Amino acid sequence: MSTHNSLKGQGASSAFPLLLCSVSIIYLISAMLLDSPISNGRPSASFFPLVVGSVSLALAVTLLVRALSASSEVHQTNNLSRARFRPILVMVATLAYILAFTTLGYFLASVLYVLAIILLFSDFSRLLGKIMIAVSLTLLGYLLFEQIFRVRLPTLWG
Amino acid sequence: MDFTALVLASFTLLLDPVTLLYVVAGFLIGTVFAAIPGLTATLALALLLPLTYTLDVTTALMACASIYMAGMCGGSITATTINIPGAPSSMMTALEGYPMQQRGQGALALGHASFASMVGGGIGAILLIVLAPFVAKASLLVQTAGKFSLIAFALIVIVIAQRDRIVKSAMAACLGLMLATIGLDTMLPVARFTFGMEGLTAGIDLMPVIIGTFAISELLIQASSIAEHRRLRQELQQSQTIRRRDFLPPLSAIRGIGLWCYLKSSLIGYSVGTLPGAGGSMGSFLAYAEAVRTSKCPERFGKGNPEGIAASESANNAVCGGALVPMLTFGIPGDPITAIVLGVLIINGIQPGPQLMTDQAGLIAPMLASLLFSALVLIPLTLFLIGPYFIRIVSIRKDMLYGAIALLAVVGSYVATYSAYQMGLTLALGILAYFLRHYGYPVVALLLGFILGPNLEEFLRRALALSNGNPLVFITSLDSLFFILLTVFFVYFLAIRKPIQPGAIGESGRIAK
Repeated sequence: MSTHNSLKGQGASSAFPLLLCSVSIIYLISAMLLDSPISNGRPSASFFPLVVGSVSLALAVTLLVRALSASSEVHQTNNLSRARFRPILVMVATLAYILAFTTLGYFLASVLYVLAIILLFSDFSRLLGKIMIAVSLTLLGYLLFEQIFRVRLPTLWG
Repeated sequence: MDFTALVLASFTLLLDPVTLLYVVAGFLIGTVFAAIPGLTATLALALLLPLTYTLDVTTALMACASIYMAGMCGGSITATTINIPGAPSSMMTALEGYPMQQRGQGALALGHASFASMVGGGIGAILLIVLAPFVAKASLLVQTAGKFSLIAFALIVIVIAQRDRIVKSAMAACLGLMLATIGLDTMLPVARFTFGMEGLTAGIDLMPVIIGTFAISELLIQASSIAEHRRLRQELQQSQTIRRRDFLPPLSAIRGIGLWCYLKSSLIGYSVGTLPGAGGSMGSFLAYAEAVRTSKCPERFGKGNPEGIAASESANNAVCGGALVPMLTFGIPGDPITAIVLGVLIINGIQPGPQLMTDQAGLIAPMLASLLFSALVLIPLTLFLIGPYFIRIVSIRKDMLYGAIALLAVVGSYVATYSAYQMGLTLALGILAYFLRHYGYPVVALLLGFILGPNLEEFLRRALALSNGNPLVFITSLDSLFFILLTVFFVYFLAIRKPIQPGAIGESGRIAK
């Protein structure tokens, strides 16, 4: 069991450096495909990205090696398991809000979004009060953006 | 007109009720955000950044200055009352403020913190007003190769300032540099790293980077620590009631601390502020350590000594003045707040740099006037008028607060281009920043890498082009050599020969040997 957890912990801690390594490699390859780093004796558009990409890859590899050689962080992994989902739900709610913003309009989309965030940061008790708060915050946002700062916000019907 | 006279003349702008309202509102928002543990004045500024699109640039900069000053002193409220610094810069204040609170002298501790913030903030702002024009003139002497070495110096110092995580900090800076290279090349009409997406051709705007890095990522980070919020709220509700008359520190106590302590700490804070990446917490720590070192009774520190509060708060507020020097004169922000202020300038089409202080001094002078006004007037006034209600204000329900923050952040990112694309980009950058923070990568390095990236690349390529590709130009050019030697000096003292860490000062206030 402990070996399994250990591997799990090691995997979680090395996943991010691995992702950074991948990003650096993709960036570096894209930089290489741009053009020659020196053209007519002058640094070209690919010169700086090649330098940054190379440094980035070296750093990402260092971090990956460190993560793989570090002892597993089983305790931290277990403690994070419950709290880990809430940020993901906030991400999903924000993505849904962005997608609905121009189609549903500011009011409807914002009330639902603010309510979702309030519920994610609390619980489902006193739901009516929370709906009222969501509506009030949306109205305040409308006053701030549209009335005070003259920003035109999208509406449901045109 | 002389720059100092211009700043003094700018005080008349505060007679306009609308401008004054923005400055006061900015200060109050900054105080509340700095006082609430988990929130920062940087977040307040990031959320308010979109609103500066519709504001007059002078008013926007004045409001930014007041938020900045408030952000440095607001953290002392919860540092004193519940031993949780609202901002990292108030960490040392908690060491002395909380024991005073336990003795029933919380209001007095806040009074000392406020007085010291006023003195430190005032000295920092005056030094900035007096010295910045000279620094701006000196900066005109720096040429292309020197400019590259200067920006590289700033970036390296920001990276090594994160002492225990230099590799992660360097990685974050590289990610910022990578993001900065997306879009059209700075010197040639070549689109880079757009991967076929038209929206990326013009590059990534500063706004989604700032809101994503500081607002969205904060929302995600806070989503995983709700239990902590509930505990904090209970502690705040249980803390003692503060009375207005208890705030005033007696003259004898101020004399006991000594004018030299305030002055020395302010100078330390100001000097630290001019260094990239150092920030208020480093200034506060160094001034506190110096106060302990030179005190006749060092054993009194850590047990509720107002001298420690005076040193810490004078220094962290003086940092505000210092940190604006490189931003205004070289266009190099030293911390996240000055990076956002730089964003306000860029959004309004103003290019920071040596010419800014001469060609557009009229725009900058009101900001410095607002900084001085915030320090000398708003800090003591806010404490006296709303001090007794601080605890009630900072114990606001977190679900409501984050609902409002989420709305402001996402709708704010829409304001720049009126497109959902910008909002999506903000979310994507926010998620990236969240994972970086989750795994201990300092996002400030990412932001500063992104901001400094285009100039770093431009001056590197220009310097090499001017010298026919000869890299020795960075050593043969005297200004460049100066900054290279300065970089080596800082690398040695910050990364190789490790100085005392803030954690080395224990509960008793003694510096661990």
